[in-house]
Amino acid sequence: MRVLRRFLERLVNFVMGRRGDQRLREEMEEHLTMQTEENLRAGMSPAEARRQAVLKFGTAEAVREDYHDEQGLPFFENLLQDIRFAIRMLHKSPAFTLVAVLTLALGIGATAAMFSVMDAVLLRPLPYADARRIVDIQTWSSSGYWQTSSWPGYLEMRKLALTFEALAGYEDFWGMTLKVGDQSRYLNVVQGTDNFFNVFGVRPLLGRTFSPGESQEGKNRVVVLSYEVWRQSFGGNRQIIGQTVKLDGDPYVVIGVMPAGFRFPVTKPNLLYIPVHVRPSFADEWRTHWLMTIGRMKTGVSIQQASADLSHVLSEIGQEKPDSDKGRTATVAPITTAVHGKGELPEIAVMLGAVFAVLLIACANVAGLLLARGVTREREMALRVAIGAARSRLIRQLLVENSVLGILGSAVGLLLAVGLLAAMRAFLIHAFMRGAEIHLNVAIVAVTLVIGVLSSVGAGLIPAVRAAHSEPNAALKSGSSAGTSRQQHHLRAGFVITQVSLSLLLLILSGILLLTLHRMLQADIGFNPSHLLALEVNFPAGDFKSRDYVQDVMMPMEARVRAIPGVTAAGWKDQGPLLGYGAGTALQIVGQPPDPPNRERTSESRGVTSGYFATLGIPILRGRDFDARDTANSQPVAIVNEAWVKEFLTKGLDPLAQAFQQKNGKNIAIVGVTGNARQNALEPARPEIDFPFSRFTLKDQQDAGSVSFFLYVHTAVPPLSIVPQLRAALHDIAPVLAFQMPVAMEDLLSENLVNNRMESWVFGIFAGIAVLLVAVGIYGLLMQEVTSHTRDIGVRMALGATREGIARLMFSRISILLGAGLGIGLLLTILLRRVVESVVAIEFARDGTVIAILVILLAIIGMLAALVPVRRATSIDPMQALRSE
Amino acid sequence: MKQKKDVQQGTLALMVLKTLDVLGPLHGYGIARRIEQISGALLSVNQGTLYPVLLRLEQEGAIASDWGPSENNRRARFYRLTRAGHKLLEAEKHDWEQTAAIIARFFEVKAEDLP
Repeated sequence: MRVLRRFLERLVNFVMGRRGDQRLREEMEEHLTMQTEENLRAGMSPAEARRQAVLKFGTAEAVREDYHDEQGLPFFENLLQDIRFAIRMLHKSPAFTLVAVLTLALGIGATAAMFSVMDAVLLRPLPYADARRIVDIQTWSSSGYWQTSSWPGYLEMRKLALTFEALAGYEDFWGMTLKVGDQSRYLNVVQGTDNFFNVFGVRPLLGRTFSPGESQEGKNRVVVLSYEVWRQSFGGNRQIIGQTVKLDGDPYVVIGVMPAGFRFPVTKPNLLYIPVHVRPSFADEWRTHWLMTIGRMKTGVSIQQASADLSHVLSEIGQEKPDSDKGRTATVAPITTAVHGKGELPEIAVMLGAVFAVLLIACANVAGLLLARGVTREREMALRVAIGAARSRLIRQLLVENSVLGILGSAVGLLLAVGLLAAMRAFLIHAFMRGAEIHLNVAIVAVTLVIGVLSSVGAGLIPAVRAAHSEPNAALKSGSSAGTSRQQHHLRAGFVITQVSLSLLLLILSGILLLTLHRMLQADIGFNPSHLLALEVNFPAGDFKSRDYVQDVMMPMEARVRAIPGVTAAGWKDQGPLLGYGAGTALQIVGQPPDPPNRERTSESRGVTSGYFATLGIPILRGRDFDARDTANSQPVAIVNEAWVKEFLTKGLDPLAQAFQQKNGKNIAIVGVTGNARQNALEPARPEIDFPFSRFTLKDQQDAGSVSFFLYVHTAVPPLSIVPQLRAALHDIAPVLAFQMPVAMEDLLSENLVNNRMESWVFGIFAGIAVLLVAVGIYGLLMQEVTSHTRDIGVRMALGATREGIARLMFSRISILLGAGLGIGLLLTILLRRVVESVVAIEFARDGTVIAILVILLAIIGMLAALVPVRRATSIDPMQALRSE
Repeated sequence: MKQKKDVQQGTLALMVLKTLDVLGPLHGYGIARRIEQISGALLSVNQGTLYPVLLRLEQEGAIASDWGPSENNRRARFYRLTRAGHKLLEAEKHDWEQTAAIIARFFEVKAEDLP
């Protein structure tokens, strides 16, 4: 209580700047007067009386200081003083301040940006209850590729698995058109089994989720809205539960609304959840795989147990259904890693490593700068010690200076981080599944400040302690060259070597990443993506119950679009471009023995119109394109690609003489062979069989339900400039269809490569920063070396050393430092090869040249940075150098 | 010759409190003189050191001060004990006596008294 009261009083005095000096002076005067009178009464002479009184009182100045200390808060007063002094000192050497602040800002900005990414991607919990028990279940074919489940296969799995509280199936390939009033909106849709929501354990905000059995045909016309859709399309109307809405033209009853933040899959915004609609033809089809699986494990079950359980289940099913399910396996992964994306974790770790490397380089740099500055201020410090400054007080003052630097650096760094994040976000949204949520928050700002201050204080600690322990006697006597002790020499060399080695590591990483990306971009995807546009059109089953959309919409649309000025070709395909997945099929070739059951070979199967190949510029190598001959009643035909020929036909067999067997006895004749075009941007083309849309009957359409097809348009004008005409065309032909913004193929392609591209960018930026820092660091340290050696060099020159000799001396020292740094950097690269493997594969045989070039590049940069200091050293005038001290 | 003792700040504060308790309001010089008299010149205190102690006690609320006329009709600052100061003095006195008693007992103990 007393302590608090006293502190408050002192705080008030401190803040108000109130001083009791006047009162003390008056009291002291009074005191002395009384004592003097007393002494006079005791018989002393007036002069002696006064003298004795003063003696007895003690040192007035000391009393006044004590009094002052008691009155205010001396600690804070000194701190303020130090800060004021620090700012003055920094202001006095603007070049130093600018370089130090920018250096710190670069390091800190990169760190803050990367921490934000980490925070969003790794640290923030998923919006599900007890997410540790949720697992992503991936099933694989006997030949080892990702193969989802068939409907009966899923049901069997669900029945037999014992370790799951809920094992749900879902698919999210298609969206649906939601019609509210006269507005059509195309939304993402997840079709889930009736136990889908049991997996996540999240209660709906309103209404309910699916109830058992609701995925059966006839009961499945219900929908659960995501929070976003509820707000955007229904204005957050709470009365929506129980009402009927139109989805793809069919009536659905809204049964629930999920809370904000719930989302699965997390990549998809604007979601609707409906019970799974199993196509009639898929209900008993074991060979068609389309359902993805996810599960919630029972309490206490480990991933290994669940995995073993599923393996057992799948092998049992395989025995039961050897034709279709033999050899299928399952992998079980925690949803947390599944959501973060495959292989993202090590990537982030490596990037974080890169960030810390940059931060470390920045610290080494600042430490070097501070050390150099310490040398020039050695005399100042010595003088202060000589006139009685406590060493602890000097250290404190230097640390305050460093903290001010750190805070300045952090502030600029934060600005930089905001910019860096804005730039990264453009790339990140696609690269990281939760990219959209990445932003700076209070915690990160705080962390940044702490890092900034810590790193600058840490960087300044050695120099500060050194400066404070300078021996005043020696320093004052010997002039400014006193600071260059052997120890300091080593320290400075250490800083340079650290910087050079770390930045070589970053340079090599980013160089090889860029090279990989370049190779990927150079790879032939099989078609020309420039001037190409893809328009997705969703055909809602409800609106086309008895209308043939192929004849009524697709064909007229294709013709209409071809007539738009600037359009050179147009054609339909049933798959989005470069998706990487699609319908797989295994068709039996007439006259060839069927594949043994343990050998699974599939082809991609696609539907196209006759204009498609020309639009994408895929060459017809043999035979013919689809054309008017191919109608619903004509001979069934197909076109295959080269990859198919290579995979399925023994050499010498004529593909045009082959045909596929069909159940109904009518064979499908192969009428053409096309060049390879990649289905997935990052992988070589897979075997593909294309079928003509013109044979897609109304019955086929009804069986397929709602579908989305893609109209590809090749233009002579900039592709996106024809969007208004496209919109008008679709509206005129089928007003019921929602128009979705088409994508330019080139944009899509770069989005596909964005993950790789982003890494290259990030590393490139980091490496650039690192090299810049190294150049600045070498420059600063050498400059300092020259300054502190001015007299030495002067003496040498006076004794006959030539300018060439001096230059050689300096360059040989730099070469040793650079060489050591580069050597350690190479060693680090070799050591860390395994760690960075997930991000970039370094093969010394292949990338040796690049690495060599980078080493030489860095060496040259180092030498260039040394040029100015060396020139300065050789231009020292010995007379002046000797005289100046 | 007896050596003069240096004085700890806390002890000096206690002396100030007791002096004011016994003699009532007093100016700085008066307090200094009184302490000197009572301690029988055993203490070597620069009289000036008293003033920071007075300031501190005042900040803690144990004493209060005001300007007033001194004996020879000059302006002097008079210090007096507050109610909180009384309480503080009692508490400190108690502590001090306890400490003294314990120390005294230690000095009285002889080897044969211990079991």
